[in-house]
Order: sequence, then C-alpha cells, then structure tokens
Amino acid sequence: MGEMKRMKAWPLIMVFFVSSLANAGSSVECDIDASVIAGNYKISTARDDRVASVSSLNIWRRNNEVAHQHPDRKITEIWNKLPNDRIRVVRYFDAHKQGIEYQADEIKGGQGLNEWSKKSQLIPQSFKQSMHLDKIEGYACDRLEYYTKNTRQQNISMVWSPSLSLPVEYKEIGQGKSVVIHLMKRITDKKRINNFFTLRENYQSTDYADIGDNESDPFLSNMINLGFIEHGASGFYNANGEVMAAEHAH
Amino acid sequence: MKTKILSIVMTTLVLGGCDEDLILKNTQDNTWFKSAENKLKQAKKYDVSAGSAKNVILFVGDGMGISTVTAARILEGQLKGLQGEENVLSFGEFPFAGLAKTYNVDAQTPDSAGTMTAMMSGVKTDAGVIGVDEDVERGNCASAAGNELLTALELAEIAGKSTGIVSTARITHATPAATYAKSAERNWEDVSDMPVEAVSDGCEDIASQLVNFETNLEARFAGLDVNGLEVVMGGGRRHFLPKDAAFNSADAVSAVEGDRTDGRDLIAEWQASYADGTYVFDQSGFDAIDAQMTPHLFALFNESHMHYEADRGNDIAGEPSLSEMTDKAIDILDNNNEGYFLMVEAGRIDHAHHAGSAHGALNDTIAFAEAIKAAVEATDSNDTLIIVTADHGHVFTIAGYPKRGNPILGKVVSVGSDSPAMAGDGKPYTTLGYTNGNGFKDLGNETNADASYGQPISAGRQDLTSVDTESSGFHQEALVPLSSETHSGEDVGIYASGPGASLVTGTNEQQILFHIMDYAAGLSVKADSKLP
Repeated sequence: MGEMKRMKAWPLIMVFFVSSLANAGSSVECDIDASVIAGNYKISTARDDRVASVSSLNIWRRNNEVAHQHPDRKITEIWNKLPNDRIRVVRYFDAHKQGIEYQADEIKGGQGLNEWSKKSQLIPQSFKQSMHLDKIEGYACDRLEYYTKNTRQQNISMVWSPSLSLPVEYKEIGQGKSVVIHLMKRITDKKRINNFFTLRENYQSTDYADIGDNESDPFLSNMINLGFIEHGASGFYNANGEVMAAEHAH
Repeated sequence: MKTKILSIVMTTLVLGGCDEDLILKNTQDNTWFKSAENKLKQAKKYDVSAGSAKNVILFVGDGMGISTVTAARILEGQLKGLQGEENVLSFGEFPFAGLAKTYNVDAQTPDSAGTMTAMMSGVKTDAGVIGVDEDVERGNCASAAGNELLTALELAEIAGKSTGIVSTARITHATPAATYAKSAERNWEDVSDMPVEAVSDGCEDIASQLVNFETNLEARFAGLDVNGLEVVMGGGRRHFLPKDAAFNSADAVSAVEGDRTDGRDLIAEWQASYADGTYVFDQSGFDAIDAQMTPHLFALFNESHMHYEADRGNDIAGEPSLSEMTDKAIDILDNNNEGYFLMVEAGRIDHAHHAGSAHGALNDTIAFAEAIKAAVEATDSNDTLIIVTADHGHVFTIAGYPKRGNPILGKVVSVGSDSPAMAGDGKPYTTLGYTNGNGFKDLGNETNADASYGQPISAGRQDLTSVDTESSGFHQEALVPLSSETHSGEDVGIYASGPGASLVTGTNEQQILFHIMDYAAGLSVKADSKLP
C-alpha cells in the first residue's frame, strides 16, 4: 500500500520502476556520469496536515562544483571543493546578474559545512549511512535503494539513486510536521549543465571583503536584504545535520 | 633648456626660490598641493636637511584609526601577559607623531583611493579615483587625461632608487594601486571590470598598469630610462590571468581563477619583460628566494586578498606573513646603493572592521606592528625614513569604564568588580563596539572575519551573558544596521622615525606626507636630475 502511494505521488519513481522491470536480468551497466548531472526538486512542508510551504531546489553538479539554485528566490549558490578539502561558495543573485565571492569556510558554521556530501548529494553521507537499507530494486541506472530511519520523534524514509548519487524521494514525518522532497526531473545534458555554470561565471562579481568599500553601489548596499539561504529555503541536509525546512523563507 | 625639478617643498627654502618645475608641473599649482607645501615651509625647526634620507618606507595600516591602534596596543600587551595598557606597539616607540585629516575633496568620510592618492601624490582628490586629481569625473575614462599625478614611488624610480610595494590586499586594490596607477575608477582592477567605453577610450586597467609600470613611466618623460618595480608582493592573481581554467594556479580557489576577458596573461608578460626576475605564488616559492640574487620579484599569493593573519594557516599553498614580506622586500631593495622607496600596506585591518570583527582587525594590526619592527631592525635609522600611518579610521570605539587590565575583547568589568557591569537594559556589554554595520555574530572559533557576510544583519543590543566575546568568531554589536561597517571621518595618526621624521608634527592635511617624503629623500630633486 505504501509503495503504491509512493508511486502515485511521484511519477519519476514509477518511471524508474517500470524501466527497472524492463531491464530486469540485464547486465547493462549504467552510463550516467554522476559527476556532471542536474536535478529539479520540489520541497513540500506541512504542519498539522496543512501545507505550510512549497518550494523548489535545483542541484547542478559539475565535478568539484555544485550549484544549489533556488528559483523562488532567484539565488544560486555555487560551491567549489578545494584541494585542501575546504569548500568555497559564490552566491549569485540571478535577478541582478551579480555575485558575491566568499573564501573557503566564510559562511556561518564553516567547519560544519565542510562536508562536501551535504552540498553534492544534499544528504550527508553520515546520515545516509545511519539509515536502514530496506530493499534494493532495479538495475543499472534504474537501481533504487530504499532506506528508513524511525525515531520516537520522526519517521524518515528515503529512496536513493546510486547512479545519480542523489535522493529521488525523501520524507520526514513526525510531531505534526512533515517534509516531503521529490526529484521531479533529472538533467544529463552536459552542454546544458556547462552553460548553467558559465552563465553565472560571467556575472559581475564582488569579493565579500570589498562590499565595505562599495557602499554607494545600489546592489551591494541592498544585497543584505536580498536573501540568506542558510536561514531560508532548504538545500536539504539532516537528520540533526542542520538546515532542512523551508517554512520560514524570507 | 629645461630647468630641473622640484623646488617645491623645502628645497625652495634652501635654494631661495621655486624654479619652474617640470616633473611636477601638473601638480605644483594645485591648491591642495600648495597648501601642504606652505604648511611645511612654516615649520620653524628642521633637524634634517633636504635629501638626507636615502631610503623611505611608508607603512599604511588600512583603516587603522586611533582607537584601533590603542586597542591593538592593549591586546598585544595582554597577549604578552601584561595588563595591556602600558604596552607599546613597535611604531609607538617612534620619536615623532602627528595627525592627518583624512577627508576627500568630495567626501567628509573618505575612501582609500582618495586618501592614498593624497599621501602618494601630495594632492587631495575625490573618493574612488586613483592617481588623478579632483578634476576627474569618477568612472569617466576620458576625464582622467591630463589630470594624472606623479607619485613619490614614481619619483623614486626616476631618481634611480629601487622601488617596491607590498600589501596583504590585492595588489591592484586602491591603496597599493595609488602608488603606481592612474585610474578614474578604483574598481577597474582588470579589463573585465571596465565599461566597454572606457576600454575603447584607451584607459588601461590597473593590473595592466602594474605590469607596464616601467614602459608607462618612460612614456611620460622623453628619453627616460628606468628599470621598473623591483618588488611587488600581495594578492590579486585573478586580475592578471585570463578567464580560462587552463591558467589556474596550483592553489586556485575558483573553478576559473582569472578574470581577464582580453586573453592576456599578465604574469607571463611580466616574466617576459623581466627575464632575470622571479615570480612566486606560495610560501615555498617565497622561502626559496635568494634576495641577493633577485633583481625583480613578483609575488601573487592569493587569487583575491591574502588571508587575515589569524586565518593565514588556512591558505592552500601557504602565504608569508606581512613581516616576512617586509623583510624580504628590504633585503632585495637595499641591494641598490642609491636607496629605495617601499610602501607596505596592512590591507585587511580595514576588511575586518568592515565585517565588524575587532578580533580580526586587532590581530592584523599587531601583525602590522611586527612588520614595522622587522623594518626597523633591518634598516639604519640614520639613512631610512620610516613613516607609519593610516588612510582613514573606522567607527570603532573603546567604551565604558572597564578596570585596568580588563580583557580588551571582553565584557566591561568595572573598577573593583569581578563580574561584568550591566547596562541600563540589564545586559552585559563589551568594551569594543561599532557605531554601524552588520552587528552581533557569535561564530565560535571561526578565524575568518568575513564569515559574518553570510548572515543577515543583527544590529542593536544582544544578550551576551553566555557569549565568549574574546573568541575569534565574535563580532561586536553595532548600532545602525548596514550591510557593512563603515569608515570614519576622524583624523589618523602619523608616526615617524629617521631623517625627516621631525617634519611629522601637528595636525595636517593628509597630502603633507608626500611633501615630507619628497623633502626628506630629495625625490623630485634627484628625479629631475635624471631627466635627459
């Protein structure tokens, strides 16, 4: 019953499932390059069975770069993994075609954020490993892993695609609140993915440290009011691994 | 026949008149220039004769206002185990001091571009412009033509001295740029920062001007032959490299390190111009430099600004300290018997204040004081004029009535008490604070002051009862909410030692620094004598 519900609610899983049946018994290996890939997510939160918020997040991955695009806010953060295992972010304000460049670990909780898996696969690897793997279905690119983790406060379930290295469904339900995350679409067109990154690289950008010397710049003086991802919409993570809910987006 | 240079400054007293000036003809009739010149003439006693300083070192603590100097002095003392207030920073030992008024021609509270131009060229000018006078319209390339000023560094170069610039900021940033560049806009650090119109009108970006310093200077004076900057050290590689990942350095932090959209690799161009020179980008390269065998050094240690001193250990390939860079610069520059001119900037004091981090600002000020100490120890006070100053201050205060020896980064504890004093709102408060800015942050042991820019403003009073305000990640409270804390319009200190130091006294227009350096080292007189 639960499985049927999941399939109804989430078309992409059904595609995976049907496709996996067709490929059952096949020894074909997956040819998806998970290092260059993108996915569009819908994030729904509810409180007491009432919808609290619906937002979207697009993740774009290109080798050691990962972009979290928040279309609702017109803000994109591109994270770059450095050789010294620190991560550095550039925050792009898409509506203004401007970016603010930070050095590694210059975002709140820098040390805590220094877990590449949080950015690159949205769910911390340590969290995924703490969940129970209930079953595996499908083959090759359509292989799906079903995880659960139940506590006194929450029931968590996740469907994971190893070929994408991304969750395709995530549910967190408990104490009158729920978070449901669905992968709505995946993108494997490398040209399109490259264009996404190149477009933003060509925005006018300002080093964070130079904001103070450019207070007369209207964009920079107002930037502080344009949005702060860490206090707003989800780029996922959790459990107890921080940022998740999108309810209080400003 | 051309009459030779200067005269201006004190040489007019010595020689009994002001000959027609060639090398400074663009500036000698400037009101700002003349007012500072006259101020210097009025001084009754000089312990120095013109041109007695063989070497000049100008130290600029960017944003190092008086309160920053005082707080850093106390912090350094407390780090030594003293109560703190009795401590003396290295430049606090200098025998002469004065004050500089920092306003720009068009701004009550100044920026670094206008103030550093005043210090380097002897002419007060507008905010936001580099090496050009107030007749320029900021951002208008064409308006710069004919309004270019000559700097003390350029005069030293023409005079045959070795020249060097060192900064912990990008070497194309306003303060270092004002030593060598002419630009109607401080933000034109590379060609991608410039409007198409400015490029087509023939304006050259600041990074390109640095690499072309020698040829550009020679082009200004027919027949002049100079040998270029001997030492350039700082950050800012992005402005010298093409926007192409193939040109990334080993410690690049961006997917594409370079910003240049004209395809030029200025580092390669510099190497082609100075085949005997050395280019380095990391600590190991820096350590390998043999100062006696290095006629030209070009060092770009970071893609953007170098790290805060407290955060320096986090650089991928390693960065030298400001002291190490200063020491190395002097080792190279003093190979010239004609002497040298060196400008050293602690560029990140300003950035830490902008971020509302007293911890960052004070630690970089202490590092700055250590660099000055290194310079004092590496030079002879009989032939080297060392001037320490700031371009402007910040809205940074030392307040309340903390008892003697109270931790300067801590909460106010009153005389006779052992527990924090309470404000009228019943909450404890810190000695240090800001009038405006991003406000309170409690980022634990974060050593990068700019972490605060990732968060919303939280100006106003906070409950600090359980907050460790002495930690590196604590950002002081601010009254007025702004994206970034601002400069202040107050005077800054000038501290001096060596030949000409006695000229530093009283309250001065900031551009007097140029005149003092020029007079003490005879820069324009010697430069004039070198003109064909």
